[in-house]
Formats: sequence, structure tokens, C-alpha cells
Amino acid sequence: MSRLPWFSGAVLLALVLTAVLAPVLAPHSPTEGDITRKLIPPVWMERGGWEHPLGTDRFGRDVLSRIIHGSRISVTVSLIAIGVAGTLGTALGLISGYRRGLTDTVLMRLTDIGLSLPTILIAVVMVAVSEPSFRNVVLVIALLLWPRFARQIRGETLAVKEQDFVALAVVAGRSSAWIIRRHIFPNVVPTLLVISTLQVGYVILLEGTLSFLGVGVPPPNPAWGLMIADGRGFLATAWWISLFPGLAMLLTVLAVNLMGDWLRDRLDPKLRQLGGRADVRTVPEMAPLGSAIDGAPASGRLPT
Amino acid sequence: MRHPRRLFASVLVLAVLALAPAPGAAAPDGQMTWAVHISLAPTWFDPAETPGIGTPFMILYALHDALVKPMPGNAMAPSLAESWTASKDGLTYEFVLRPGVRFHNGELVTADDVKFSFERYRGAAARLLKERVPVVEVVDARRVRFRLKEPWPDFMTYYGSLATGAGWVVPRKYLEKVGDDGFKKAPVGAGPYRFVSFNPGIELVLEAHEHYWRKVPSVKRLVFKAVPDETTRLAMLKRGEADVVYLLQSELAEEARRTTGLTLRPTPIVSTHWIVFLDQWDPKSPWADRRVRLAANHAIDRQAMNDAITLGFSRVTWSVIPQSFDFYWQPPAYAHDPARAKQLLAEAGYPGGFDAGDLWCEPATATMSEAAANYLQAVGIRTRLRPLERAAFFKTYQEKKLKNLAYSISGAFGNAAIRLETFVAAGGPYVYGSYPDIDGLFREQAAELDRKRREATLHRIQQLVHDKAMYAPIWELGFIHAQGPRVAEAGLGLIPGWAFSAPYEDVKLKGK
Repeated sequence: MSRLPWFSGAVLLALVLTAVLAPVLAPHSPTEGDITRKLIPPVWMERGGWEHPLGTDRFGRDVLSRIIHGSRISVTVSLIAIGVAGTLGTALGLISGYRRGLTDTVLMRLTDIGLSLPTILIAVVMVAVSEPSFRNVVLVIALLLWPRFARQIRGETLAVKEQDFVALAVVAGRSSAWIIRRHIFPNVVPTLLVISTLQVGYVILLEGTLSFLGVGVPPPNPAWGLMIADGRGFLATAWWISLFPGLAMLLTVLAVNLMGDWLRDRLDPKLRQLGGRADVRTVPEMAPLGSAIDGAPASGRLPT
Repeated sequence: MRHPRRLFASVLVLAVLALAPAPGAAAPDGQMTWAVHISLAPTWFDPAETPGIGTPFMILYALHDALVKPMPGNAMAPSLAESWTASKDGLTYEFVLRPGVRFHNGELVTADDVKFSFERYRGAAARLLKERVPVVEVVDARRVRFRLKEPWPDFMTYYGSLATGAGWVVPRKYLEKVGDDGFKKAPVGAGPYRFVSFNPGIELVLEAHEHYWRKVPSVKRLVFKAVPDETTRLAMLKRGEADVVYLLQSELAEEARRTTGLTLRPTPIVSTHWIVFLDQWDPKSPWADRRVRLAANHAIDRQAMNDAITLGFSRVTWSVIPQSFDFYWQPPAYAHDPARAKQLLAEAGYPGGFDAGDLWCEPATATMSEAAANYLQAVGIRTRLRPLERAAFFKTYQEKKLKNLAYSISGAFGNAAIRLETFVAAGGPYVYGSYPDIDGLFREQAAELDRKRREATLHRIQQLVHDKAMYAPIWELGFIHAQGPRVAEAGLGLIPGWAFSAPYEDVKLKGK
């Protein structure tokens, strides 16, 4: 069993605390600046000072404060987008895998279409058409994300559905909704948790990309992608405008992905069977229809 | 005939001389490239669609020509018209066309084309022009007469300056053949350069019209590349991929100034910038309260913005009307006083500020808009920046589809009455609402023939605009351009108040 990734945990804890306590932690307002104090370098450079430890941007806004408040945007977009996409994808995946037949075919073809779309291009077009705003960015990301959940959850549902406790429930005359709610869903939760964690980094990067391209969260909001874009004209002279939000994004995505890997190792029954951190490439993504991996019983609660 | 060969040779030489460019004029040569700060739109290829801003004339000065237009040393220079006269009663204006001037397709420019161009004009102030000039008569092929309903002292300012495109002449036969859309795809004009190609979002290519009446252009090919990203524009200038770049700000302008071989060309122009409170006529909006509008005016530090963004080259004038315009009235300054702004907001019932919604702008003014938004934010007026491409911005603005706030600009020529007609008085193309006292005075001045009384009325209107805090004026832009080492004459600032290079037949490369 792999060890708890302390680095990832610490970074993510810091991120969440920063997001929650942003108004307390940030030394300045993220959107107010004194344009006469623009492009002040970080504290360790000549002309730098502790008033603006990471310097100021071209409008004289404090870079550190903007990064701190920017974490709120990243965390909020991730939570809401993954919440919406996860709920929708999980519901469709459960229905698709449990019902099979025409419902399954239709839903999975829709999922295939969703998965085959060029994500960034579609996101740019959708946000540009619907006008850039925080709400629309979240909705567009959620719309592009749900097929990933639906496909994985359907695979898990297919495996769980073949378990004896499900068959017993069917024989006992339980309704499909009851069986999905009581037996299938609890057994796919670990997978859901792993997918969700792995998508956080992706969502942060996608939101950053959209903001960088000018179709994400509108200025003067302190989105990290927006900050990187804002400073790209000054890379030679005022590199700190882009570098620090870029580092914040890099650290966050790295931490989230490492945490996702660890969670997968911990929670994925297939990997647990293989003992600890396995090479995931050797493990089939989906159980063959009608059987659990290696004939082993699926993890999950037995009906009581 | 004793010497038929000699006679033939003489005729041939005469024919060649007749068709060749003017004596002494060198053939056009070389290419000059502009990196333009906005995406070019085909609507700007057609003078009939000029929307009351200066931008389209950037292209019109190359492709087309007007009867009368601003030129170096003359704000109303005879161009396609070699002369014009106004009757004593002020009811008739007669223009005599320059003989032998041809469009790029070889057709002669005639009085019929002038009448056709005026009648098809549908841009800014079109309704006003048609109402006040009900009859245009073709006297003969070179004479055209405009009959006014009543004396109108502003007629030539509307018709012969860059206030409108009504005086710019297009070829009737060609336009009737290809239609409006076809004309935008392949415009034909009488200007110093003819259309070669247009790749939307990429570039516009023009080539010298060697038979242009004023002079043979010096540069063979003009290329206008659309480069909305400022850093890329400067990089192109440094690498020699562009010879002239429009709009550099802040550090990039400083960098251009420091770079050997590049020349910074700050150009004072008649472009005023201001924030419009679009919702001020909605009683439910916070902007309906004058104190809120005053608060916004006290929140913004224009001089700091000027020093930081336009290196001090702009002029903070407190008006939407350029200082050089006839009938200009100088409004008093708003002190930059955030405390006073917050107090005004509190008095208006917004002690914690309010969400002011969107601040619409176009990419070229995004930096200025964001700086202003930051100042508003500092007193509690929270906005989101919403940039739209320039053509789309003005179209949406004109269609009255914007809400909340807009960062408005205009570099159109004219006088105070014309600027007020376009942006302040009821019925103007960009007017979302108006005030009865201002509208009454505006009608009054329009009928006034006595210049002094008219001036007093126009001053009163501007005073009311200020008293009501209808806008938050930012500045009169000091437009910072830059040119590369190959350029001998970029055409910047040759026409006083004009924003871009012009006249294009005067631009020159070194060693040509």
C-alpha cells in the first residue's frame, strides 16, 4: 500500500485554507491597485519591498493578493464543475449500466460523442457564444466533463450488477431504483472519488486555459490563467506577473494529480488485488461484462 | 507623307507619355507594412457605412476619395472636387469635379456617382443629412448641386470632414453590378491605392493606383496586418516584419522608445474616451442617481492613467468633445477623491458599493478600461470587463444592445454639435436616453444661424452634460504609434487630429 502523499496533502490543505481565508490572508485587494505603483518587482529584487512581496502587475495590483484570491476561483470552479459533471455522469452511467439495452446504447453513443469532442476548442466556442462569465465557464466545463464520469461509472455498474447481492435483491422484488441506490451506487463511490480527484487538475488547467485565451472568467477577476495572460507581454521585464500564478497552478495540479494517483491505489479494487501501487497499464480499464476482475468478489457492502 | 516612320514613332512616344505617370514622378516601389491594433472589418471598405467613429477612414483614405476632405495644411481640402461654392442664402452648394479623375476600374468619376454616393449613404447622421438636403441635382457630368431645405452652417462639416462618409464617392455602375456585399468583397474606389486582397483577421493588401490625381504614390504595396496583441506588434516592429505599428502603451511604448532604430510617434488626435452610464435612464438602476455617476467621476485618477498608460501624451480634458472642436466648452475638473466618491455612494444608498455589471469595451481600449475598472472597484463599484472586437462593439453599441457601462471612444471629426448629435442628443446613433432640457437646446442650436447665440446654446448643453454627470470623461488620447528604420514618412500626424497614417500617397520608404 502506497504511503500517504504528504506533499500533496499539504499543498491541497494550503490551497483550501487559502481559498477559504483569502480575504484574511491577502494583504491587499485583488482588484484594486495604484497604477502609479505598477510593475514593482518581488521583495528580493531591487525596488521590491514587503508591501508587495511578489510584486505588482501592470495596474499596480498586488500579485500575491491576486494569487490568493485566484485560488478561490480555481477551487470553486473545480468543485462546482466536478459536482455538476459528477452528478450527471454518475446518474447516466448508473442508468446506462444497469438498464442496458436501448437506453445503454443511446446514452453510451452520447457519451462517445462527448468524449470525442476537442475539449478546449469546444469550450472556447461555447464560452465565446454564451459570453464569458464565471457561471458559463463552470457550466461549459461541466458539460464537457460528464462523459468521463458516465463511461467509468457505467463500467463499474456493469461489474457490480453481476454480483450475487444484486441478484438476490432482484429476486426479492426490489425496484431498480432501490437496487441502484442501495447496492450499485455505494459500490461505485470509490471509483467516483478517484475520477473526481483526477479531474480537479484537469478542470483547473481548463479554466486557466479559457481565462488565458480571454474567454474564461472576465477581468479584473484574479483568475490564474488571466494573470498569466496579463503578464505575457512583460516576460522579459516583469516576469513575476506570469511566473507566480503559473507556479501556483503547477503546484496545485501536481498535488491534485499525485493525490488522485494515491487515492486510486487505495480505493481501486483492481489495483488493491494486485497489491499496492501497480502499473495501471497492465490492468484492464473495465471488467469483462458479467464478471468481476479475476473472479474476485467486488468490493462493496453485502445486502443486510 | 515623307517620313511615316518618324510620324509613327512620335505618336507612339506621345501615347506613352500620356499614359505614364506624371512627369518627374518615380514609379511606386517597395512594400510598407502596418501592424494594426484592431481586426479590420469589410464594413470599413464602404464609405456608406461609416458609423460616426474615425476607424473606417484608416482604410477609406487609401481606397477611396471624397469631394472634400481633411488633408495636410487644410481641414477641408478640395479633392475630387476642384472647387465648390455656397449660395449667399446658404441654401445651395455646388461642386465642380476635377476633370479626368478615374476609379480604379477605369471609369470616370462623375457627378452622377457623387449624387448616388450621397443618396446611398446610410452611416452616422444619414437621416439628418437626408432631411436637411432633400435634393441633389446633377447639373452636368462635372457639376453637382446640393439643395438644402434651410440654411445649415454645419453642412460642410458633415459633408467635407471625417464626421461622416457621405462625401466619399463610390462608382455607381460597379456598385449596381456587384451589389453591397460584392462591393465589400472587392471594393473599387478613386483613392491612391486599389484593393488587392483581404484575408479576414489576417491582412489587407493594397497596391498603388498610379494614375491617382494628386500624385503617384511612392510605395507600391501597402499591407495592413491585424495584430490585436500589443506585444506581437512590437516584436514585429523589432524584427522588421512591420514598418509602422499602431497603439503601444506603458512599458511597451517605453521599450520601443529605448530600442535603437525604432521611433516612437505619439500622435495627438481628436479621439476622446469616456465611460457611458448606459443605464442612467432606468429608474431602478443605481446609475439613475446623479450622486453615483459623480462618485464614478471622482473615483478615477485620469492623470495617473495617462502617465502610466499613454506616457503622459494624452490630455485630460473632462469632456467627450475634443478641445480643438468648434463650440467646445471647457468643463471643470473632477478631483480624484476616493473618499468623496465613497461618501457620495453612501448618500445614494450604497455604503458598501454595488455590482455595476459589465463594462463593455473593445480590445484596443481594454487596458484603459481595466485601469478605470480598478479605480471604480476601489470605491466599491464592481464591474466585469467585456471586450468585443471593434466592429462588433460599435455595431452592438449602435443597436442599443449593451447594458451597464461602456468605454466609448470617437475619433470622428466635426464640431461640438456633431459630437453631441452622435452621442448625447435624442435620436443619435449611440444615444441610449436623453434629457428634455438638453434635447430642447439641441434643437434650438440646430436652427440658429447667429454663430454667437449658437455657441452660447452649445456651451449651455455641454454645461448640462457636465452638471448631470452623464459620462465619466477619461481623456483626449495621445495615440502612441511607432515606426521602424525603413520608414522615411509614415504619414502620422500630417493631417492634424487624425489618428492614423494619411494621406497614403505621401508615405515613403527610405532611399525611394
